[in-house]
Amino acid sequence: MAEGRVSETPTRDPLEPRPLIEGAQSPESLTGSLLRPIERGPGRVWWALFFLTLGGTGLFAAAIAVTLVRGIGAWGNNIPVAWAFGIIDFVWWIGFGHAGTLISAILVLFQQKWRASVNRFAEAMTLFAVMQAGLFPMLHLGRPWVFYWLVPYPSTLRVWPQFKSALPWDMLAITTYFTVSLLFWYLGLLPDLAAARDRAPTPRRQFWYGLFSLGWTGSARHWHHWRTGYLLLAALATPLVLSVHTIVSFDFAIAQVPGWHSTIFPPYFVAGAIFSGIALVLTLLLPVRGPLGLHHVITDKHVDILTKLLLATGLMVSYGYLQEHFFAWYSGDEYEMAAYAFKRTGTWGWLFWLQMFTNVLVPHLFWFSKLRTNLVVVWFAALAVDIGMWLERFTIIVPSLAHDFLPRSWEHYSPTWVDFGLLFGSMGFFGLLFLLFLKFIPPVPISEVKELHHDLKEALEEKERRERTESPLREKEA
Amino acid sequence: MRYWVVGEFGSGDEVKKALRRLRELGYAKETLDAFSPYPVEGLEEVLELKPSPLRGFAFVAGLMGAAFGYGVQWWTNAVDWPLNVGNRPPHAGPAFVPITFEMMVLFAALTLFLGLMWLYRFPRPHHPLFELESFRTASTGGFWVSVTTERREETEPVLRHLRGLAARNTSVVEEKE
Amino acid sequence: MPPLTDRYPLPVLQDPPRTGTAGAGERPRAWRSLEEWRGSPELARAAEREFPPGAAESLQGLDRRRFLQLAGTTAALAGLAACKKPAEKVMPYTHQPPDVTPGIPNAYATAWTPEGYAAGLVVTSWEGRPTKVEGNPDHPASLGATNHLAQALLVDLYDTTRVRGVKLRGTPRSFKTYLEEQVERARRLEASGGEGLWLLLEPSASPTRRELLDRIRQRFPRARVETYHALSRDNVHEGARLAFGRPLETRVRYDEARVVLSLDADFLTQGPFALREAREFAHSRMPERGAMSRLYVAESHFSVTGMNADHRLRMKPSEVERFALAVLGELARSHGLPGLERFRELELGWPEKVREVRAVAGDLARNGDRSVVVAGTRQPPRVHAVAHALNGALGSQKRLITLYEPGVDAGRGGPEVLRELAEAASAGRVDTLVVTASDPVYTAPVGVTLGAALSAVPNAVYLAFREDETAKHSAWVLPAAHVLESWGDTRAVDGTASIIQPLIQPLFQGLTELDVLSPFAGVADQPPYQLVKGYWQRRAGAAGPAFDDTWDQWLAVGTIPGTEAPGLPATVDVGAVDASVRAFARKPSQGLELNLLPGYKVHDGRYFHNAWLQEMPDPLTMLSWGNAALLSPRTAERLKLEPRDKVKLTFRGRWLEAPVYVLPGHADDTVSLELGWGREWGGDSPEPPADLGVNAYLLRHADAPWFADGLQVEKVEGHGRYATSQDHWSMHGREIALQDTLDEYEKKKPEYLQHLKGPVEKLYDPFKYGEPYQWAMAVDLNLCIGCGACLVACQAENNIPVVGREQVERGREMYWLRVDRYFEGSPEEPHAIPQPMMCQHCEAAPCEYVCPVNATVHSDEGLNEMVYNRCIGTRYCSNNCPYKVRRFNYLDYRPRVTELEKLGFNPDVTVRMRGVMEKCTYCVQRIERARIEARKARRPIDTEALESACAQVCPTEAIVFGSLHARDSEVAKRHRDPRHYAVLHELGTRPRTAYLARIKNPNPELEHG
Repeated sequence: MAEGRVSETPTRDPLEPRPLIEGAQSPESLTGSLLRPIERGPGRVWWALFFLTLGGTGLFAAAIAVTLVRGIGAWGNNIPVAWAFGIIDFVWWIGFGHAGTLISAILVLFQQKWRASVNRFAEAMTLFAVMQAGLFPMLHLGRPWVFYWLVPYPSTLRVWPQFKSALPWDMLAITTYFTVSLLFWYLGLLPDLAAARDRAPTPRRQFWYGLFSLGWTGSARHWHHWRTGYLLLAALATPLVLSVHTIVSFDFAIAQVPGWHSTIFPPYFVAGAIFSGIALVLTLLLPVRGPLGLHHVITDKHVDILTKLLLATGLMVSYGYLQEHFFAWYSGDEYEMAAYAFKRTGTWGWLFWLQMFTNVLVPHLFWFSKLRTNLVVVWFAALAVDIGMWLERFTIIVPSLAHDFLPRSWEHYSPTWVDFGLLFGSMGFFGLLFLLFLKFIPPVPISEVKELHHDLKEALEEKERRERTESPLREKEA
Repeated sequence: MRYWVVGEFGSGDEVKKALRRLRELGYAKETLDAFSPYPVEGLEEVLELKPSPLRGFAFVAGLMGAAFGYGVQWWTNAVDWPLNVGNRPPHAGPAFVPITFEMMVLFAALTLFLGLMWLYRFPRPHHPLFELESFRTASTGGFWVSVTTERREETEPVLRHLRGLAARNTSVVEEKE
Repeated sequence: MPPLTDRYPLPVLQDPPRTGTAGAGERPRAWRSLEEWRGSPELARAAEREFPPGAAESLQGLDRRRFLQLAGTTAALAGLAACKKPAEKVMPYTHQPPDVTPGIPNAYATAWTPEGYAAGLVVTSWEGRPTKVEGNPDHPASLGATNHLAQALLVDLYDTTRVRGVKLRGTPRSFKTYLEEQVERARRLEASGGEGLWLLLEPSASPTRRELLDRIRQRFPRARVETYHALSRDNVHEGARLAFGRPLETRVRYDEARVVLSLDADFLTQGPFALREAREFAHSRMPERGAMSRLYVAESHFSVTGMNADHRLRMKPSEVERFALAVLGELARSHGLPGLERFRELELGWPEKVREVRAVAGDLARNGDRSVVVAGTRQPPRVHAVAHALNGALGSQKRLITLYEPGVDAGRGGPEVLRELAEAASAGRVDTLVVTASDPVYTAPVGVTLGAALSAVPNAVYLAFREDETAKHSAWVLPAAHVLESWGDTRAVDGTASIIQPLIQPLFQGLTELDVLSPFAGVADQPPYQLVKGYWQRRAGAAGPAFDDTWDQWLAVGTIPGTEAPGLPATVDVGAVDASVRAFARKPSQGLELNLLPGYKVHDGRYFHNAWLQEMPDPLTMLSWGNAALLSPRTAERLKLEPRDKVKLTFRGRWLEAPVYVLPGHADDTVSLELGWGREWGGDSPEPPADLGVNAYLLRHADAPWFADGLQVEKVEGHGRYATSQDHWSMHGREIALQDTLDEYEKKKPEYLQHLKGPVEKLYDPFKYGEPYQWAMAVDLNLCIGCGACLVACQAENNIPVVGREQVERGREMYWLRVDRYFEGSPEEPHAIPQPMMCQHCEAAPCEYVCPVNATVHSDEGLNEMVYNRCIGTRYCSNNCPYKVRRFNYLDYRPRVTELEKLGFNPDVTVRMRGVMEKCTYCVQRIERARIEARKARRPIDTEALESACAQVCPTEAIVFGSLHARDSEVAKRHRDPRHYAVLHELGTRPRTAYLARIKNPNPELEHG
């Protein structure tokens, strides 16, 4: 991966691999440019977005209030469709939460240097997405105020949770995932907070960054433990990220609802999660790159790699879809077959085919390098996938429930404004958190970029030395 | 009463060179330290740092977490109050796996973080070197070497050595008890 | 601390109006909290209101609670009167001596009078509050069962919108004033021999009332005494008059019958003896006993009886008559039945039906005196006469039929009466009019402007249950007592007499019919109790303590022994029948026919305000909260109509708009519409007053009370609205509600349905269930007629909330027990199969292992237990229940319940809060009560006597409940029956509820592909 180079000239030979860091950089220049976003005050666009997302958050709060006061009846759910938007949104958000840890943890293990400049981003995204996801299961309860009964604590009821159900697994998986992601993120953040502290323009900022950097000095001993800790956390987070969506998929797979009861679910959910996560990273990365002046560290190279990943995971997800429907047919089980036929051709068939378009066809654009670097195409494709993944969860949950064993119980389902309020509201809340993140926390891991920059320089010098020694031979041949 | 003699260098390699020299001059490795904006390869060897104990911590914590996770499920569902739930066995090993795994990860991760804090003696928002204005570069672009000593008269020779090694912004910071 | 009897009052026999106004009496502790309300002005206003304000608001509104507190307390205030110490005592059923122990319910025998005839009841009463209605096993017309209407009686009893207090033109008066004025009037009328005195009465078989009427007739020879019922049985009586020369009631022993031809007769649910006849019919459908009758139903719409037919002969309602004559002719011609000679040349030339006519006639003839023909009340007298003639000729009149003197006045009690009354009244020839019939103004046919006429009557007295249309036009409005508040007597069709005894003092000072009539009979000083007791004392010829004991005995048992009437001998006057047959105009009907049906749930409209019945899904259409225009698929196609389209039905120049419901199996070119809907809603319901169904009376004509051709249908803009709880009527080839023909079944026995029973592949060893009780249920689909009584009984027993139309449309009805209905076969000629579906109590319950908090677990007696106070509402269990029998409290359905309605709750059953799951418990409260009783008596539970609410109410004993360990118990037998199977057996849930396949007995001659 150390294929990057520091080019002085903007024009470059198309055969040359794209650089990971553009322009002549020094540690100081990098630090400066990477801290600029949080050092300079918020711009007009930022404020505009801020109030927009604040409004969204307000909507979220309103929808939550209605849900708590009136009850789940304020939603469109019924019998048999007892799970709907609440769970769809939950799975959707938790899915987004997967790219972060994947990019940071797994790529750390694989020594993928390029991750350096995007991982903070992805991790922040993960945290905020998991925060949204965490809210839904709680709101979704008929009696949210006793959600803690899922925790085994000695109480006068003397009853314990029932651990054969997937829901306690779920709850623990999410809390663990959130905790670990948070620690991982914060650990990576320490050196940059220190940098922010040391360059802080005002004493107030210096005080706060000083507080949160906990006294990081960058001493060799700090780095020594830090690297071990960071690596081990990555090693833990990697199986964790796989386990979380596996467990989420158990919510459906262990039930016997036709359309849920399938062994393909765990791997196919994980693939889908990473698929959507990467899509969301692209959706958020491309627009902020410019305004934050990060073109030199988040280069087309990164976009190129991410789109390739999108294509790869997209293919896995497509395989999952194929298998689902194949299993249903191959099982010969009339209920399974009916359920999947209903998904394809029933009331919500059009959503299914829309999902097929966004999640199966769209990724195939990225076989072509031209399209991989055409930011407009990439952004819209990523957006399509984000939406498509919501549709996927819808077509998994609602049609299956609405079309189960006894035709008598088949019912139509239609969401209410509260359902949509929660969906779009949670987006608003997510956006709000993300904007604040951009304002107060170095969006790109400075120390890692500097390290990367250093490695690249050495690699380059190495290369040039080799070229110098080989040149005479070439002349002979000529 | 403790004195920090510090000097700034251009790169990680210079730092490593300087430290080797200082070791040759007989400075104990405990008194030596380096500060850099990003980890410098090979410093561990130069300073002869022992492998971090975090590995051990995490391993033990992980095992404990797993045991605890499985134990709670087994005791609550199969021992304290076994119920006939859908004709499934009260002690359902396979069903207990996910939580067992999650608890392992959770315990290990928390231990790692707290372990670090303990090794660093964090939080410790203030450090004597922070008094030194020029030292701010340590987190942005500068590479620093420090030598600590208890006796004031020792600071002079150290300064000389550092200057000899072409260190910039050399200075002595006095740590008040 | 007052003695218990003060706090837990017994029912009161004291004459209601002579007690003070509401709440004037000493109040028991329980109500003291109402003091603060007493002063508050809004309460005073609420008390004034005819029905509580805001009844229109939908449940989704957030501010209902406040209003409901008000409505509730108003009701409670009015209800205070109910909590007074009794003046006299009634006799509890089977408990001797009578006493009330707090927490131990008592049961009292009484009766109610649908269509004027008695149906015995046993009402459970907690501390003087009736909470559950059951049938009286000792009563011939009940045999322990009731229909859905009787189950819902309590809703009307505890309805806050009932009329309170006597009113003269809207201003409150005391009953005393009323009495004085009427006594005065009566004296004046006496002079003119009763000229200008009209009585328009509800049909009733009450001997005491008959005696009063006789007195009135003597006193006022010129007075008009008429009975009126919108769904009158005139045709039955007239038909009998035609055939036998006098009106008679017919009672058929279906258990003896081998072939039954129903001419538009819904005899399984309609008619004064329906419950018993349904039971007996079921007994003729038991392949085990070798008894398997064959039922032909000739009808237009799909009736409950039609649902149970072996052959449904679909035809326009007017063609039923034609069909009857065709069968008559065929039997006379081809089978030469004795006595029918003169019908030999009766030839209708009806090629498309000739095959069916031949087959039916042949079958009837083959089975001779064990085949019977019955005609429906909607069919004209001629059809009844023909039926009588056929039964006479077949010999079944001797073997299967008993004829009785009608207990009700068999005059013309239909729309005709109203027309005459209207004419007389508007001509000013009516001075005093006493109306006890149910809302004649609303049910009056087109062209009879009864409202205006009534307003013209100076002294119109109306015994009103609600402030309905008739009340608006009557001078005097008297609050009617509910049957459970009344003293009275009545008779069943077979003459068996019962005393109607009240279970509670009238909540709103209600009056009985006897109260209203007494001044005209000159016995104004006697309360109903004295009138009734006096009458029977005279009849018994006994007096004093001797009689009192007999009286107590009668009350305790619920029937008066030795009052059964003997069957009357009668011979058919074939000549008369022939004459009327010749008078039959043979022109086939043209174009679309309008077909009006009695409301299955709202009857003639009197139960329109009954929330339980409103929400109950119709057995065939699954409609709740409204009616719709029923069409056959083919007709809908021809008229280019989709379900839920809005159509304009124009009939003889008058029109109304109704939503379209396409009903498979409905007759072509016929539009059926239920009567009794589209009234103004005044109940404590979440539903708006508007558009709960359409009022079909607007198309009803005196000369065409049920059906006639000449209907125009056109599609109009917009969509009709109706709530249905089952959208999909096909089983999609899945083995859910199974039906088979007798021959097939006989062939396949004993390995019948092997793939749907017995052990299944399982991962874990089954739980070891111990002795002695293993609760289980068995539903024999072959006996189930799909009437839906079990559904309402379950609602009454388990305090199941009414959710309202909006929620039903969303698919959130709360029924623990639902009666699914599937159609099999072509949309034109389908079989309809009802299937009661409740929690199956699976031994390997899928709902249990997904509950994260152990809120639903299994008991060692095999019950799938739902722990409400542990449930956090993840709804995972519902997702994983393949039968989808779990119901979730999506909203808080409790605040809608008024204080008064709460009196009707079953104290043994928790009222569920918002956000928890609930479902059928096999009536665990009954099991536990039985267990307690058994422990006290140091004996095992009598599992045979223990019944779930649904099993107890079932008219045909299709549902049985009990313990599998009692090997010879009915439930255990059925679990061994070759016809038994488990629904969704392949899932390995091992349900404790077994279903027995439905067996059809089709006529080979009519078996077409």
